Amino acid sequence: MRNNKLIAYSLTGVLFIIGVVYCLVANSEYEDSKELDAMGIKGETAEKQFEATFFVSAAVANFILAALVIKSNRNVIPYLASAGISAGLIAIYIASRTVGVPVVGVEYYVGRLDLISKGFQAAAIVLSVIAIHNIRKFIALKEVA
Amino acid sequence: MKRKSIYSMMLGLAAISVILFSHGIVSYAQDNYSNATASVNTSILTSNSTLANNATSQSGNSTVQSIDAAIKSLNDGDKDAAKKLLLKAEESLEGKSDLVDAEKRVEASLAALKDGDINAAISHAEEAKKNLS
Repeated sequence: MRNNKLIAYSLTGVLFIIGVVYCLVANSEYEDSKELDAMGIKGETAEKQFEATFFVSAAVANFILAALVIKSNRNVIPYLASAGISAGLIAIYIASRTVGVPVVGVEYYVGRLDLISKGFQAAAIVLSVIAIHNIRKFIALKEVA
Repeated sequence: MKRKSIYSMMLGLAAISVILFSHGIVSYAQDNYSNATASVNTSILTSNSTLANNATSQSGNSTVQSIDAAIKSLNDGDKDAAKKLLLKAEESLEGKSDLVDAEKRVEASLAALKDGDINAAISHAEEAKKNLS
């Protein structure tokens, strides 16, 4: 169970970093929207505002998950949510670079922050799966004993 | 009590994100509506007048010129000038549904430029030009 504490702390750190990265991306999108708005490029301004809102929401979700994971005591739900949301965000990103997503369409550029966040999200999925496996193993052993 | 305050704080954060999210969708919908009206007006004008066709082609040429100048600025290392020229190209491509791919390439070039990736910025600008020709 000590091992699981370490995984919980690591996952909390990873989720917090993902949240910070999304805050940075949201700030960048917001700055872009202000610049485009000043130039009178309305359609693109609205798209950037939508993206900024989405990234703020993703950041908030990751901060909440980080808090839930650190508070979880042999509860698999925060880990399931972390893995699910991270997988969902990776799927949305892949769709946005290939087939396109509603409102935004297809984006062609793969940025540095994008790659960093996807790397950490993959790590969050791996850590969540290990934590869920450990908790289930612990519960099964407890039932046998 | 402590748990209660954490839950209320989280509820507050979720509410803020929902408000921000819905605001984004509403403003997008409003802009989409005005863009749709503008594009309908544009299509009526272009179908009725050959003069308008000439204007469109001239604007396409000016977009290509802006992108060409941006590529030159990027090669010269003048990022500010390149950014201004790419934004000008973006402005001229705004609302043209048949040139969405070129617009997205210009956006990608701007994003790469912001990231400091000059080679990617140039290659996306070249792609935008190809989509216009």
